[in-house]
Amino acid sequence: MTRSSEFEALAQAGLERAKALGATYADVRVVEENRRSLAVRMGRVSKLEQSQSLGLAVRVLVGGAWGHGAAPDLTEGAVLALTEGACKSAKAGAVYRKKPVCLAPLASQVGEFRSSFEEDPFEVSIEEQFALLMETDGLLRGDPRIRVSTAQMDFLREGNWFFSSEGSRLFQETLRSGAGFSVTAVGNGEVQTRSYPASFGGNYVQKGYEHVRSLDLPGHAQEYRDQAIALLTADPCPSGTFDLILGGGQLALQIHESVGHPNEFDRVLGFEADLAGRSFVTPEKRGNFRYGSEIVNLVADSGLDGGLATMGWDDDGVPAQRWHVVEAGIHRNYLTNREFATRLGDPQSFGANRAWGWRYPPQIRIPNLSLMAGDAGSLEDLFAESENAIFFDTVKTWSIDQMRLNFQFTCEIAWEIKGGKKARLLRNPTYQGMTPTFWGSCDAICGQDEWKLWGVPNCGKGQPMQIAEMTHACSPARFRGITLL
Amino acid sequence: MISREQAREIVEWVFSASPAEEAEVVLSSHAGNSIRLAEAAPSEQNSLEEAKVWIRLIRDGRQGRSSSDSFSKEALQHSLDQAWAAAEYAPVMELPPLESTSSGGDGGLPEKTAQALASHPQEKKLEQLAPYLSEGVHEDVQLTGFYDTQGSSLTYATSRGCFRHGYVGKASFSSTVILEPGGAGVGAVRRNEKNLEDKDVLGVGETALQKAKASREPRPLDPGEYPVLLEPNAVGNLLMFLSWAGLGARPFLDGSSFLSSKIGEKVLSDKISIVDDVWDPRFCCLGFDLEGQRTQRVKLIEEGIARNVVFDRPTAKEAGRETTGHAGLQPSASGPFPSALILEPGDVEETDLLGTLDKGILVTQFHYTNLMDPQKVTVTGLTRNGTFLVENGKIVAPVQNLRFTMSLVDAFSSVRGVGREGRLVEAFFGGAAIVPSLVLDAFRFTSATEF
Repeated sequence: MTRSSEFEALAQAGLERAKALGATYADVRVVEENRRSLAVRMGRVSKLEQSQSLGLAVRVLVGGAWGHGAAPDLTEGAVLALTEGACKSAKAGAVYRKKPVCLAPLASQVGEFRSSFEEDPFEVSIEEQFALLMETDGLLRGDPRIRVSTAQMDFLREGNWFFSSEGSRLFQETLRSGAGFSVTAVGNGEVQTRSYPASFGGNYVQKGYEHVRSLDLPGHAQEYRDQAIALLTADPCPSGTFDLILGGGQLALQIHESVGHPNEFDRVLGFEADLAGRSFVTPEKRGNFRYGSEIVNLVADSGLDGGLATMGWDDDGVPAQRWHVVEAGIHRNYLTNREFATRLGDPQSFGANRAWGWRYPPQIRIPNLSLMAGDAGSLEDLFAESENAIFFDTVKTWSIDQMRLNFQFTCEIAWEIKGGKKARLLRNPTYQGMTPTFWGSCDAICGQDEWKLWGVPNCGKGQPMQIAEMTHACSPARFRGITLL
Repeated sequence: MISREQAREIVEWVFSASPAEEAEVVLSSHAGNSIRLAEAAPSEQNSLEEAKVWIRLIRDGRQGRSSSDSFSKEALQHSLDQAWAAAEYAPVMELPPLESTSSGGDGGLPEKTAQALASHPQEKKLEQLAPYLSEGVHEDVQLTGFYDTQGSSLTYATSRGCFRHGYVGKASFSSTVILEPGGAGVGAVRRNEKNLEDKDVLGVGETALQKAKASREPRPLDPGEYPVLLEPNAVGNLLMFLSWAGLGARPFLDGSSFLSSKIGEKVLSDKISIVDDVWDPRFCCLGFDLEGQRTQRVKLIEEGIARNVVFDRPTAKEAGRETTGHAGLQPSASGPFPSALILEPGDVEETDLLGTLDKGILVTQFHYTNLMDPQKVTVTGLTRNGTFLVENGKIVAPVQNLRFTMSLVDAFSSVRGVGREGRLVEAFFGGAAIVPSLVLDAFRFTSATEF
């Protein structure tokens, strides 16, 4: 018996029991995760862990209300107990629902999806991986002002089996890799950090170890160490109104916070109000609200090559899709799952339903969501035609209100743009704005050659909080008349 | 959840099967049920059981760690094999010896109490919620919330003879109410206790409704510097950032903490005293850390003077100090952090605090606070769920939410009054603290929202 057929037999037992207990819909997910995390800090191992996780979740719809149970126990007894518990609580909850859950239609899905990679990071020796981290970390140190240096890599392989009462049978296997370093200098009353290639431990993509090799961590170490030291005595970033050019890593977070989250349709309807908040993108805005300037095109794409949220199907079993959230500056669509597509009156879900591993019920999550490239050429081209602008790069701090309007971001580093080139180095750069005004001020986006994938490995949502990963691809872009603090 | 006896059986099996000179095992088991509320009804329910084992093996001065979600012998053997293989290739490093004793109590809850929290029935929660949910039947009331009960066990054991095991659990209910149309009034309250009686649940709901009603049609207010009355949820949010940025040994030793090189100096208002005390019965904490050490009560700030930070054994060795028993899983990049912060109460009745404001702002909660500068503990964030203009000691109007940007060292140096009642609060990104309300002389709001 193969693992898939073994899991299918378990799932079938749960699905049949759910049906017998009155469920109008049920699905069973089995998720297996294998992870390797390595890190060094100031020349010492700070993390070396290999982990395995295998668990099962049952989700049922009884009387128009959801029930869900999960455990790391793949026995028929456990499946039946989880199913019975989920049906019981769903039935009890259904009494209170004035608007029963109604799922958008979906034909049964059968198939497999495997992400592509060239070199399996789990086949590369830990010794070789540590050698790379130690070499990088060593290059980051060597100056008394450097107080913290870290280098890390992290790999995750996830297998996901999905079986539904509507006949769907799916298997997906994804592999993602990430690596990076950061270096912190202390002095002159300042604490300054530089991170490569991005904050949050580096950049992550749905690829293999070839991604880590392509980053060339040691090759960038000295440049970033020197920048951290230089920031200690750099001039503070001026406050006032300036033209702003955002580097890709920072722009990715801007997309995430001010376009991704406010367009989760469960959030729009208030289902996240108790924790993360609601949204200014209320339903009447669809199709007519000016979200940004005419050059702003924001596209969700669950098939993006290398994207952290790239998949064959979501956790409703809905096939991967590509759709505009914002087209030529106008709001077009939300992020939906089968439950909330019907609340929107849409004929089908966009397929944005995802759960964190096996433990929790799926919910609408930001998919890969990207700002399409423009015609402003390279970053140097954009500098060349910008006067008195400031270039911000690398995420440091982020904050946005619960309607996703008022945001304030601080970057690790900035440069004054003078005479069409990078000039004075600036520390502690912070900008603040209101979402539609900010996107409306976008007047230049670099071209396809600058379009890069930026992975977000730490997106939190839900109660209990679930972590999701996704990618925002973009080219650097310019925004006119932005408030700097 | 696993019992002490089951835990002992598992760790003994691991030690007997381990090929290493020394081994460390951490076992965690957890169970709980939760209900999310939206549109005055359950929108999501989950029942979760989970387990985790972390195995660390020491091999010729090298160490490897692995973890698994299963306590089966097959999974444990696989974890041993992985940790052993990892240790073979890890760099050699100087490691503190594993603990061999288990002195001091384990703290936490009786097993039965934790088990009861872990298996608290969903139907019982719904019965408790029913009267409150009936308040949300009106079209203009958007009633949301989260009711969660859970119990956990944690075991720390070493092949040198240390064995510690304890239980924790909690029940928490929070609710946010939105009243529309006519401008959204939003109110939210969180309560986090070892168990919640019917009156606790209804009390949270009633307070959230009252906050929402009082918040209807908020008026815009110019940003600027104002005196503020911060309710406990808002104080707790700020205290967590003070802790993450500066009260652990790692940032202290790295020079990025606001306490670095300032022990014995006055750093905050003399009205501010902060301790970390897992043994305070209002918390529900274990009394040991993940090096098997007893967690000590630590005076961090005493009447504004920096006294100490918390240590684990590696940072204690680096500093020439003793551990305070605050270790996380080893090795640890971020080092130890306080786990049970208490901001000592003052002498002002909660009801009298408002009267200390001639003109100022009452803040119920903060939202999405984040750290901009660790050394000055400069943070930014927004008000949320009930922000009110106060004049002559009285609330005169709800105001639209404001963004603040300021140094918490400055904020906690301008304390006008400290409330007499400490309340247990949870922070947005996790962590709990017991804090009173505070009145601050100057709080810098830097921009405004539109709601």
